[in-house]
Amino acid sequence: MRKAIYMIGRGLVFLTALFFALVFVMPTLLTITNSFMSGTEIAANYGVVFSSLSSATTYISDQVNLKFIPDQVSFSQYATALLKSPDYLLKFWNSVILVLPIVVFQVAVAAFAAYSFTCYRGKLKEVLFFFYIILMLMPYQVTLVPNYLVAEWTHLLNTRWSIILPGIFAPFSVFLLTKFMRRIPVSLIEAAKLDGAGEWKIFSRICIPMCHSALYSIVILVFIDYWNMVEQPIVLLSDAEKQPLSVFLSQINSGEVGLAFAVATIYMVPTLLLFLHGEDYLVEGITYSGSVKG
Amino acid sequence: MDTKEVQRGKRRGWIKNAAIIFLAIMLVLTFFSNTIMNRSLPEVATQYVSSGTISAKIRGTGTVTANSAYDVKVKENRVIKTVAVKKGDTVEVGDVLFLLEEGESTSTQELRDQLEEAQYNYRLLLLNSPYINSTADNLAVERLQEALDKAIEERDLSYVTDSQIASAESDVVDKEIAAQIAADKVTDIDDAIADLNEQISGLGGSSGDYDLSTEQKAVDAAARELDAKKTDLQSANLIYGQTYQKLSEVAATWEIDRYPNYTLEARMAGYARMYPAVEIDGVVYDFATAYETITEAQSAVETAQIAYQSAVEALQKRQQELGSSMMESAQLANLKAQLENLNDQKKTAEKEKTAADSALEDANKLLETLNTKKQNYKDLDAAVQSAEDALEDKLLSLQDSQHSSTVEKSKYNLDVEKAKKTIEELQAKIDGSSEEGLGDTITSPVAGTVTAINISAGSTTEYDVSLMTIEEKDRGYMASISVTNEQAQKVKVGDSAEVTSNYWGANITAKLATITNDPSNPGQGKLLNFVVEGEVSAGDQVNLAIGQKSANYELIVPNSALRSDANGYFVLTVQTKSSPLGNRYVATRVDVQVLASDDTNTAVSGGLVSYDYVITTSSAPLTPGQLVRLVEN
Repeated sequence: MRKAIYMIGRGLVFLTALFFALVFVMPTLLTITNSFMSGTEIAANYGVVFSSLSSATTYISDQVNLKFIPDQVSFSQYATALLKSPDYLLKFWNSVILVLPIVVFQVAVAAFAAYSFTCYRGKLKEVLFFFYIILMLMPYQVTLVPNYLVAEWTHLLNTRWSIILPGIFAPFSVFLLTKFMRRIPVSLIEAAKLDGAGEWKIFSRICIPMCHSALYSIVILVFIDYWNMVEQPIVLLSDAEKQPLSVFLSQINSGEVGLAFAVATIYMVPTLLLFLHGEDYLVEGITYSGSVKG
Repeated sequence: MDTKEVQRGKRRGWIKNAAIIFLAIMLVLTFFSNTIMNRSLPEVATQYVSSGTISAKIRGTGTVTANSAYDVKVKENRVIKTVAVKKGDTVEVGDVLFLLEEGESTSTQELRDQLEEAQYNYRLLLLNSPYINSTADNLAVERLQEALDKAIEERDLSYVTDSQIASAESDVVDKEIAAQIAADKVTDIDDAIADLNEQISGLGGSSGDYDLSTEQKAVDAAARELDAKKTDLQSANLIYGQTYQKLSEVAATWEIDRYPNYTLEARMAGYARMYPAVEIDGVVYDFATAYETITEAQSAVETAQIAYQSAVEALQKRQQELGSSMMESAQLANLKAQLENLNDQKKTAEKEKTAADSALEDANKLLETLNTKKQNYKDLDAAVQSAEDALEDKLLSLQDSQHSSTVEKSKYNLDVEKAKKTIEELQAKIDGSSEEGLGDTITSPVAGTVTAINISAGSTTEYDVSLMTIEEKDRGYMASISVTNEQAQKVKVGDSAEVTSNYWGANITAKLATITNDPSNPGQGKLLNFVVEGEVSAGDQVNLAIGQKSANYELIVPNSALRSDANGYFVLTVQTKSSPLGNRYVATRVDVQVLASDDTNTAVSGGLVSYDYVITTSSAPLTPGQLVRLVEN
């Protein structure tokens, strides 16, 4: 009897999980399958969504028609996006140009900061770390206005540096890496000191190798975070040609409905590859970071 | 390293490769993206907005009309036999336009009938005169009436129409021609006969003696003589042989011991030399004599042979002469046959000539008869008139003799006057109609071009209705275009206009003659009336362009750059947008107002600046906001 109840409970949990899994996967699946529809079919199915954007355009259907299977498989969206629209490719490379420095330098800065927070403890540093945590907890919108003002004051407004520099010094990765490094036994570091290792050797030969899973997690999380950023470019980059592709995806209008799904699919490829590449490290890094006591 | 770690490593390697490939593809596509996109963009040609002078032109299409069009009309009802010209033909004065059926105009005929009716009524009126009340008067009037009827009857018998006379004249001409042809034919045959006779007489000079007997006899005699001489020669040969034999026998033994090696001939020669014929015995003499005989015989044979040859040649020559005479004889027979044939033809031709002459004579007689009748008709008409006058006089004299003042008689007098007036009017109409008679043709009174034919063969003409329209030559053509009052103020009378027509190469000129109010648009528009000269005809459509006064403008664009839609005129300018991947060219709409234009450029006002590029041509239809590609120079 107990076994039966257990089995039913497991079954219900499975079904619930399956339901949520489907709900979560559905947008991605919808994006991918719809990317093989022609522009006409996209307009017919989803045109009403964009009808408010352009009063001049009328659409066949007056309601959204969610479809997973195209009436006729077409690669016209991909052909248009990849062959006939240099602007979209340009925006893709804008994303790359913005995200890569942020990821690289943020990880570097976070590694140094985390090492210092780990090895040199004191009240001042704890206070500083507390502020880091506070800053991390703040929504981005709260810091947007100060960011804008600083960028204008430093004449970096409407340049990529206004995105990259704040990104490099973001607190999240410092917090995550600090938590991970504090998990390294102090005796290990002290033993290295006794053996005559300097700070750089301890940092580079002991701490970094031991934190590589956390570093990979940070790379993935930061990449995803900045690859999908919308608010910062909109506020800080008024020149549309410098904006990343994520902004274009958020601003699809009636004239580009037929391209939206293909561009979105192309846009998710780098993130997907990065995630698949570091999937194991991500889980490990997050898990360890969360379980380590400070 | 466990299996799981190995698999994980492989997967990472695969993903790394996929990422590299993805980025490489994106990189390559980015590199070529501009090129590929530009290929799909419409290619446009552009031109600067300039400033300068525009000599605007007023354009319009007008229909050419003739300054003078003559309508061919007749005042008779005649049936059209043939229409001799077609639309577009050029005719000169006197050219035949229509051939008419023979006969009098139906209207003239009707007038004549009316006249007879009126005359009859008139006479009836006279007979019913209230003045006539005695038997003697009645008798006198009846006699006069009978005389009048008889005169009318005789006159009507002599009635001939002009067309009958014209027809008879035409017939006479035809018959004359036929008679002339027949006479010419006879003359030709006579000439041919004379020619043949001359040839026959030429052949007849040769002798008809075909006897060869004389020549043949001479040949036979010569042959016999030749044979005789040949016989003599043979006899001489025989004797010579015998003497030769004897001489050879004597010579063979002569001094054989002394000349043992001599041949027979040498011995014979030596023997003969040693013993002359006279001195020795007869052997050598005989041989010598035989030799002389045979030589003479041979000479005689040769002489006879020559004589025979001469006789044979004489015979052959004679025979040739005889053959030539035989050929001439055959020719003579042939010529005689031809002569006979020509004689037969001559007889036939003479018959035809006689018949033609007879027909001509008949036709002349008919014409003469008709002319006589026509002349008689006038005399008889005068007689009728006299009879009518006599009857009238008689009746009037009766009236005078019988004084009466009754209303009835007054009314009667009025009726008589009216009837007389009617007759006079009808007679005048008939006379006028006869004087203006058409004959058998309608000719062109003017020179020009036929632009319309309103009647066809078989139809009957109507009184004073246009049969044909002829545009008179050298009277010019007009064409008009409708313009606004503002446009009309910019041109002046005497300005020349450019003219184009549907006919390539046509040399046409036009000059503004007058500016008048446009009746179809009163108060708002004017008509520009041009005098058109050159290769045009009425009804042609011509495009006229007349220049306004020149003016300077700040913004001038090519005509090809000017576009229009429901919102008015606009141009598409090229706006350049810089991007990291190069310049983008966007077609941007700028609304303008047209100020003036000529054949190539248009002056505009609006949101243009002097350094703007305007799109003049494109490889595909353009919409504002569309990306374009500039044409490569």
